[in-house]
Amino acid sequence: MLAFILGVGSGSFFDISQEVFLVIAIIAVSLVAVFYRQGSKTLSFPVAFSAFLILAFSAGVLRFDVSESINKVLTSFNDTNVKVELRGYINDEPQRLIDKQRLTLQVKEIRVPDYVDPVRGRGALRALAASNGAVFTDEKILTTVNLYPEFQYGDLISIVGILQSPKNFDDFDYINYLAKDGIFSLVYYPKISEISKDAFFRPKEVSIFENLKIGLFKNIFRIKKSFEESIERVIAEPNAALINGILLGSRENIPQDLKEAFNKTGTTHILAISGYNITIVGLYISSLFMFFMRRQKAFWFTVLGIVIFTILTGASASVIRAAIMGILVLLAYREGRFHNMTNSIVFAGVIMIILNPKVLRFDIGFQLSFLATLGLIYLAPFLSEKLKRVPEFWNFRENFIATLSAQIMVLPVILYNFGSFSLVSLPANVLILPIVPITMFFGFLAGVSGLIWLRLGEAIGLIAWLFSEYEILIVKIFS
Amino acid sequence: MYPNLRIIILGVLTLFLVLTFVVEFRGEYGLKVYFFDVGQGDSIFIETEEKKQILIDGGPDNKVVQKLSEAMPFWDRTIDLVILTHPDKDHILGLIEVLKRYRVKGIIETGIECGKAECVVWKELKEKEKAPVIFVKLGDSLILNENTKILILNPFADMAGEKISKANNSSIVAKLIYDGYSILLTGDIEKHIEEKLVLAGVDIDSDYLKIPHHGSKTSTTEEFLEKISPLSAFISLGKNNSYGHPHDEVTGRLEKRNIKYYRTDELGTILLSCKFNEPCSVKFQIPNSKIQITNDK
Repeated sequence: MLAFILGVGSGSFFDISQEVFLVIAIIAVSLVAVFYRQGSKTLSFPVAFSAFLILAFSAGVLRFDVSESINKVLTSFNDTNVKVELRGYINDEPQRLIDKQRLTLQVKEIRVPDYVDPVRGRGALRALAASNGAVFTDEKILTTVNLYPEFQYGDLISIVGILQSPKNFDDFDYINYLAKDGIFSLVYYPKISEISKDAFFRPKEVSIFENLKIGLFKNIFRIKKSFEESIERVIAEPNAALINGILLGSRENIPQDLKEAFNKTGTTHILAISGYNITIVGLYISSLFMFFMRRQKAFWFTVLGIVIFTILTGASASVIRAAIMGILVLLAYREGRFHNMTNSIVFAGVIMIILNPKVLRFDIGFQLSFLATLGLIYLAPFLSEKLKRVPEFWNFRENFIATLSAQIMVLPVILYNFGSFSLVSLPANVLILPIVPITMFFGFLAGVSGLIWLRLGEAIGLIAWLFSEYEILIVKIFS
Repeated sequence: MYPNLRIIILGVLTLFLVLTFVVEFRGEYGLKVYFFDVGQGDSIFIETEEKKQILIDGGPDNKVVQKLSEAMPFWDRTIDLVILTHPDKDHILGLIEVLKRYRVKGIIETGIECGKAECVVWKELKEKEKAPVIFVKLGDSLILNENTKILILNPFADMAGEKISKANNSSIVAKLIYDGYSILLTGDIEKHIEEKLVLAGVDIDSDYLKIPHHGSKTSTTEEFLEKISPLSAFISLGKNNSYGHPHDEVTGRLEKRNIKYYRTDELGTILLSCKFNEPCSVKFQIPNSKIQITNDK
């Protein structure tokens, strides 16, 4: 499995041709096959093992290449100043920012309203001229639109605008950030309208499987939205945004200066769903179910709860990792077997990379959470041996050691990506972490009761406000 | 479980301690008028001496929500009155989010037709909120208490249901009167309505003026200023806006008359605070600095 990860890694950093690796893989397979026929004596364990490693490595390289080579029609329109119409459905939760919305559109159909010189549009337009005015594809695009009208996940829409390629900001690799989600083109403020299924040239363009997925996620995101809106009704800003961040990982509404304060103090991770949040959610759910039923049953409901929670938060890489890890830990606990953490981490990692090989290189969150978890498993026991003299009150030492070991592990990645490292992150984390579970608890309670009875939600919201205000205060003091 | 319980009890106790303190310190009397820094747009928040809260317009985006939570106490999720001067983007957009997040007890507007996307959402939310919606015209007034009232000076006639291509001149113009002071809030009216107000002999004389239409040269005429004769003026606009607001002609007219003016693009949110039987003062906190300036009159 490590060899597979290595393979994807080298595939993403070096442009290795597929053929070479196919040849290597075939040789490895035939070697194993040939030697295997000759009897198990010649096929010593190391030989077989290294052949297997080579195989896994090349599989890794191939996986990366396969994911790279999905056909891209849309990019040929980038920066051409040609007005195109794109039809498809919204394939992610719309991001509602303070003054705009961002929508991820799964493009199914491309139309060019005005006739355009085919040479300028390169291949795609020539293909277009050949067909009856529409090109069919299955790609993503990110579009920025006005705050209203509001759009929901799964809406069928048509946009008319000019495609642009993404550009990097001063210190942010926007191109790669989008690339990991398969987005290579942007459209700013297009003419946008909702359309019906019949508006497509091929009404069956959205497959049955996709429709099922849309139906499911539409409902999940609706629940998430009404929960977030409930929080926003019962708790004043910016605390409401912070609580939504801690609970659901939605960060877009947190004011810029507060976000920067979190960054400076190295506490942004509490706003992302990490293994830490999942552990808390898992514990809450399981203690709730243990009340009603036996441990065996409670376990499955907890797993189900974590899965729903994962989807609710938008299923980002770090959440999926945390969810997989959390379920693995729970499973091991249930089986009563001593849990081999190394295997489960590598297992979780390989699953993630198989699903989307781009995360290994492009998703900093993925890198950070794996390193941090490794730190907690390997470094923390070592440090707690060395740091026995740190005073113990209110889990102070535990938090101190956990923070320290996670920080040490992620240091290289942070230095590489952000070029700076915060010294205040240790005290800030130690002061904030014990309060996070309580904030989550009251925030969740306030949101749910706000949906049932507004006044009750507001009352509980005051308690949640207080705890989140403490966190904001600490972060502001240390930044 | 025990340490957790202790933390919770401690937290609740501190909460009530903080609450009592804040309530104590907020016991200031008088009228407060905030000109929120919401970029290129208008958003004015009024708190009366009885802590009745009125929000006039919401600015061009959702920034107003942050500004409101800075001006209002954190436990207060209710706004008594929301006034929409006219349904243009830079006035209505922020109000939609306010309606989503706060309990609004009443809404005042002109009721002119608007089919834009934001107006559709606004309409849906108004129905959901179930707050009474009142359409106003010249001559209407709101009595807030014996010291405080709002007089409506524009539109001249009931405009509910009317279709208007440019909404600026349908803006609600309101005169807020408290104790001996008056503040004229003018929305986005232009020359045409200014002249009409002057010619009709409407009592627009005020101590303070919100400059109409973000300091556009099509507003704030000489005659209008002459008739109002304000002590100082407030301009609500965004930094480096694409319209070139405020226009030099407008600021020139103000300077010629020695009217001091405050701009939200330079000063951030501006607070005009008037106390009973005391002179009003203007406070602001320049963005990105800790300096707070008080300008007594």
